[in-house]
Amino acid sequence: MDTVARGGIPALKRKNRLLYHLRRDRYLYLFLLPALGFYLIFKYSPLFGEVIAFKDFQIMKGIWDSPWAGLKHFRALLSNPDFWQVFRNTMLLNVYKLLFVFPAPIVLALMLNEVRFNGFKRFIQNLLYLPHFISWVVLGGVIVAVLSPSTGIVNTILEKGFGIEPIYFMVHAGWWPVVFTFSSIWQSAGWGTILYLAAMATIDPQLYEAARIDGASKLRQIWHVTLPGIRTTIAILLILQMGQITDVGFEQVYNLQNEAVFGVSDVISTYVYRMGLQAAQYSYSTAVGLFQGVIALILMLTVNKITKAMGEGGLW
Amino acid sequence: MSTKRTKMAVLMLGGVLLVAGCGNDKKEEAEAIGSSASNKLPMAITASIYDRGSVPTEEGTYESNRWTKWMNEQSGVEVKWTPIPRNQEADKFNVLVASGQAPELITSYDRNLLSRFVSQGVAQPIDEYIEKYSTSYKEYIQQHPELKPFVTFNGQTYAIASMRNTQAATMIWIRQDWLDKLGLKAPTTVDELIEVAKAFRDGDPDGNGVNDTTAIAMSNAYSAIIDDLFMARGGEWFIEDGQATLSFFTDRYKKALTLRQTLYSEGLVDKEYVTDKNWARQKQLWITGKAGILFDTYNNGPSADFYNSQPDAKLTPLPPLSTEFGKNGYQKEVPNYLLTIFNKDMKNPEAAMKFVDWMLDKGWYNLSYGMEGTHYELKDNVPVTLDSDKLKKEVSYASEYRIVHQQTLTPEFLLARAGSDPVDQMVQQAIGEAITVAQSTEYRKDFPYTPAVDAFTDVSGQFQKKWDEIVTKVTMTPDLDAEWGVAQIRSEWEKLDGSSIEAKVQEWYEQNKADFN
Repeated sequence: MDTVARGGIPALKRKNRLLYHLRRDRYLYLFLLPALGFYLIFKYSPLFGEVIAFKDFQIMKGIWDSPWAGLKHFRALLSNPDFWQVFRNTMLLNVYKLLFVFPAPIVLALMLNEVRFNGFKRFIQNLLYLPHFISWVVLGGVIVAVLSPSTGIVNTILEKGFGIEPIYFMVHAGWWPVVFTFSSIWQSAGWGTILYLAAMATIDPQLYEAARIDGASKLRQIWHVTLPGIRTTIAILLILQMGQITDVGFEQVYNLQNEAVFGVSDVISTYVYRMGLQAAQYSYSTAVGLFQGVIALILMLTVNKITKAMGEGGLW
Repeated sequence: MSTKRTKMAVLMLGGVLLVAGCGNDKKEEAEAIGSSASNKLPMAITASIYDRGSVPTEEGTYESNRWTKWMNEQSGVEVKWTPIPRNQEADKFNVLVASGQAPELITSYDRNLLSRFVSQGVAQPIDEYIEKYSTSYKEYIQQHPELKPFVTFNGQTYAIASMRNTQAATMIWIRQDWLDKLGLKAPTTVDELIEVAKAFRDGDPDGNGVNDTTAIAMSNAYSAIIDDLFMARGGEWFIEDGQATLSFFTDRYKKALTLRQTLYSEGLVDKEYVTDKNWARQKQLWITGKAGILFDTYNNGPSADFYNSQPDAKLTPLPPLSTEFGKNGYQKEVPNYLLTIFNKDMKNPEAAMKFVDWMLDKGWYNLSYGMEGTHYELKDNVPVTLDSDKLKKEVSYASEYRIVHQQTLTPEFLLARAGSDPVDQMVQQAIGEAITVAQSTEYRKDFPYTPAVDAFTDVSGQFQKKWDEIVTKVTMTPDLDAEWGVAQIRSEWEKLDGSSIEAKVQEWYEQNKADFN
């Protein structure tokens, strides 16, 4: 259809052609309006507020009338040791996430994909999805209870089964990141399998047949057929994950942290909450947020470039 | 195909418009109701209310329950309440104020927070309104000049406040029955407290034959009580040799920190208190009789739940303990109860003043004791509780709405008020004793309220997070000592430019000390 239209009006300039398309498909474009409106109203117009990062925002004066402050807040944050500690924690926790949480749904999906009995597979899937729907307030309470040195099941097993002294995981600077990582896997891995399973469903069964005829074992089939089949999905999800590398979800950290492990658990989101909402330093915390966003964008663009260089499609 | 597609598009477009239209209608409708309501009832205000999550589901919500309706009927002022989560008031208020949605009456215990709103221009002076619109409150404030420094900001009256019903606050509770059983005397010094706690830990005072007793149960008052024993409340200012000094940098604080460490390493407190976010485990320890000492408030140790679960328990409020630095009383609260400021954009200050007057005259009484005949009956002018369970369920949450009141809690009054329920009598008796104990000894407080020094207010939140972390670390790590902890706190303080803040606080102290009494 597109080629027909183009063939019919070859001499039109680019701009005119755009107008022509707009007019010809105007009803179709109308469908786009609600979605566009959503992004404009809820995603783009709030960006205007970022301007307070460059101002000394005063509540009663409002955004426009507050005096300009230049890069003052950015200088303040770059010279603030607290900020660097928070930044380091954020990056570290995300590196753990990338290394351990990101592959978890892939492995799970591979295993689920090999389950042949459908009823059992659905049952397991539902069990795995469940934690995704529970809020971190509840999950946090469950984790604290499970890991309690006196009454928690983990320590009971360690003590009775292996003779290991109870460990207070939640207040130990070394264990806390491990708890954080495992709780992320528990919460999100099951839900994350959905995309991979969908990608696996699109793999041509003939490929498996051919592999079997060639004598490939199950593991070989996974390695040579399934994994290459979901390669693009993995690449895209990896790029998206990189976009979040400067961002650790507020709820999870807030509900797992305590005074004893602030040093390793304080992240940008909790820092912004504390400085911005509790201490009312609006401009400063906006500067922190903006800085975080810019770093994330740069990282995402870089990984996108690398992925493309490796022959995958990338995001665009 | 083209016409078909067009038709479909038009149909769907219609659907989209319909949805959008509905949205608009609803909004307009709501606005219409709002404006007509304020036209018909000019006596309307909006106000904040602390949300402690204690309104039972059957009673409704903080916005709407039997008491909000009752207040609207009785006061002649329509009040729309905005609930503020009690432990997140700073962020909730900040967001409301920054987005221009703050209620017209902003009520808080946190004078610092309100002081910031005043300097940001969120609030307005109210001298004129009191003069013009108020009768009862005008008279009340003249009779209570001690409230003046607390309601005055930058030389002008910005806040409404009444006196507290008691200035008692923190309290150490001890199980007298356990002391008797083990043949111990009530401790009078901190060292004796440790000895008694060890005896509770090892002596199986509950007699169940299992070594499962935690000596001390905590609450959010634990830190305050430990620090107060040594006259060094964390984060507060003291005058040492005429110099404004933070508590951390006194010798007394080191002892307080050492005591925390001792109690923890000896296993006299719950080893897992750090992850006990809302002190649920501690409450459980106390109520189920697994702890014999409770660091809490004057009205939180004895409760119906406690006596029902521990029918043989005898509870005593522990008189203040001595240390090498002398004896400090329990925390004495500031004289003022809640502070309420008027939003600059308030539509009808007359309605607000009328509501305050009504609350001070009549409203507070029923909000404290319920309805005559239903919840209480008058005996010698004392509202005696008819059914303490019913009172707890239907009335106890209502006291939150008293932005001003004229209640005074004395031991005699509490006991007279207790109904025929023996458990309620025990509870009120114990609370009354605690009030007496709290009043028995002076409490050292060099600054009546936090110095209004912006440089300090700006960093105190960040600083608190640092010292919280350091204090917790020292408490839980046997290898660290108080010297190390204080040195760490000092270095964090210096990073926040502490010396110059100290100078500013000193200056503020010199200017204002004449007003302290």
